[in-house]
Amino acid sequence: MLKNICAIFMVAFAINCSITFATPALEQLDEKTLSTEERTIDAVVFDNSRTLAKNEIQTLTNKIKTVEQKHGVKIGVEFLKTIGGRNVETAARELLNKHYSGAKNGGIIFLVVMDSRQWYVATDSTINNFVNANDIGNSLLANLRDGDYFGACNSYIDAVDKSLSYYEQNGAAYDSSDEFNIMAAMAAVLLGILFGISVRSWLIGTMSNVHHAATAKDYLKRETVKFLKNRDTYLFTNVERRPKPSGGGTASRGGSSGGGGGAGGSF
Amino acid sequence: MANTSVSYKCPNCGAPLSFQPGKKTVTCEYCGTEFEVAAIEEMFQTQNEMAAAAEEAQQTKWETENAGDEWTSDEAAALKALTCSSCGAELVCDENTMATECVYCGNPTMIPKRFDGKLKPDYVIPFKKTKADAVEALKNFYKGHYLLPDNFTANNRVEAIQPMYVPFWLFDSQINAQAEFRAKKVRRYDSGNMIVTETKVYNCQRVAKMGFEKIPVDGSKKMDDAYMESIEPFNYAELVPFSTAYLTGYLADKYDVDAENCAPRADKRVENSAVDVLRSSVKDFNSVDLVNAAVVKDVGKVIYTLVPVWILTTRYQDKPYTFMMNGQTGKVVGSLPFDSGKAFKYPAIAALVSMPLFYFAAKLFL
Repeated sequence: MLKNICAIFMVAFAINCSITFATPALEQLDEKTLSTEERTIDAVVFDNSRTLAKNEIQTLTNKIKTVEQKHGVKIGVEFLKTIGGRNVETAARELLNKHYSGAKNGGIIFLVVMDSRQWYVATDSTINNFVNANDIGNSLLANLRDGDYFGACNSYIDAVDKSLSYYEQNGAAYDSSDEFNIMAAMAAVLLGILFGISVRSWLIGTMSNVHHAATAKDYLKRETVKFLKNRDTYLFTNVERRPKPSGGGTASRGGSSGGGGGAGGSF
Repeated sequence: MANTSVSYKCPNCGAPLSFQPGKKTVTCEYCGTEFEVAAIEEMFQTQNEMAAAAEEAQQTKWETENAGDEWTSDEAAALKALTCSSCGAELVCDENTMATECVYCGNPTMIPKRFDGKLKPDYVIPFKKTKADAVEALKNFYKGHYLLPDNFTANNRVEAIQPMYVPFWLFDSQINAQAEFRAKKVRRYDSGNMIVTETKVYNCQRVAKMGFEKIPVDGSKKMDDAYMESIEPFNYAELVPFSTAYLTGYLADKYDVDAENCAPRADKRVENSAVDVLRSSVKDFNSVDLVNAAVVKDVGKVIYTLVPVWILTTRYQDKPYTFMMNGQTGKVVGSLPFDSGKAFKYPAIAALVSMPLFYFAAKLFL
């Protein structure tokens, strides 16, 4: 009897071990993420952190389906409570490969991790030819920082739609840096004028070399300088702490995942 | 009437003598005879003494009330008449003139009373640069100034070039300086999600002795202080004991601001330099601010010197422009006029060229 019980435990242990070692990281993640909420097969908006309201999820789902059909892509939005301290980019790529791949024109995912307040937009190698993950990330960051998660998702979907439409019309990926930036232009005009004024002051300054002499350093006899007292006394220390600026993320086109791209950071 | 001035004429031919820049002798430009400075000094000493006595006698007669209504009493006090010992013409100069040139016969003329006793300079730095050097240096000075009006150089004619010995006081001082500085060491590091800036504050005390040698301060009200400070420095290795022989052929003024009144200018420069020396010893800090400083003069010595200056005057659009050249080193100082059109055009080009660069740079941040 005792032998049978031991045998059962050993078999159970062996099965457990085999599952543990054989399961890739994605399954570990999915087990955690799906532990409190079931993912439906065709879900395009998944939220186990209960950040989004049900009607918001429905609205976003409808919007995503429309864009997906229009452009032949897969678009995902994931709000997770935690990823257990793992790298947000790795988690996003795993979810992208698992749930949002296989479409003709590729897939893209927007992952938000609520406990570490991190976000990441990951693209596969196909859609990466049509969209700029950095631009998409920049488009949603303001909403994300304001805590407007529904707004961030809307901005994300709009940006994906806009980028893909742009590519279809122009045959090249939309790049915000190609657009005329009125703020940058105004700053450039202002800086240019200031630069011009500085150049003018400098040029006029060169027209005269008549100045009062402020010092007598030319007449100092260096060999006569003798220090009689040279004391540094520590007084006090001021310590100032400020939070690190939340990153807007950096894009890496053609990055780590077989030509895919991404942008992310914290908010 | 006894002469109140002495003309330095060649004992050989009677032509005017002049000290040639860069030489150690006084030369007659006409017969070419060269005289040692000491020989000239000895030769004209008696004449100088007599002229000084004559002027002293004449001074008592120079009453401002006799000057008539045309001069104010201040003007009359400032003007002095003397007779040229060469041609007898009456010359009028201001009260500070030590050496001049007769406007009628061109003879170099000394007014010995002006360098009598305490008025006698201790040293002189002889002229090394000639008139031609001064004109050439001024032309070079015009170069490289982008805003200079085109017709300033094209139509430029030097209106007047005057070599002048300017009275300077040279201040020596031994000082004891002390200063207190507030210095900071700043360290920045990351701690979790925070950026920590740690600033350690120190009180740094410094006391030092140091000496300054021959800080020049001009003793002439006529000369602009900024110009005189701008033509520095001088090479004091070429200082020679004063002799009137060096003044032949040049204008020279005696001081009209005494050493006591010039001293604060030298003291201020000494104080600034002393603080700089003390500050330079406060090392390994991110910032150093002066809290207070005190400079005490232990020993102070002053010598009275004449230094050589070329004064060049030009005129542009009816406005005179004065340039000065250090007669020893050739350093030219002055303020040039600028073309308003160029002063708009060049900066505008710079602004327009820089705008695209600023635009692309701004796009990276906006």
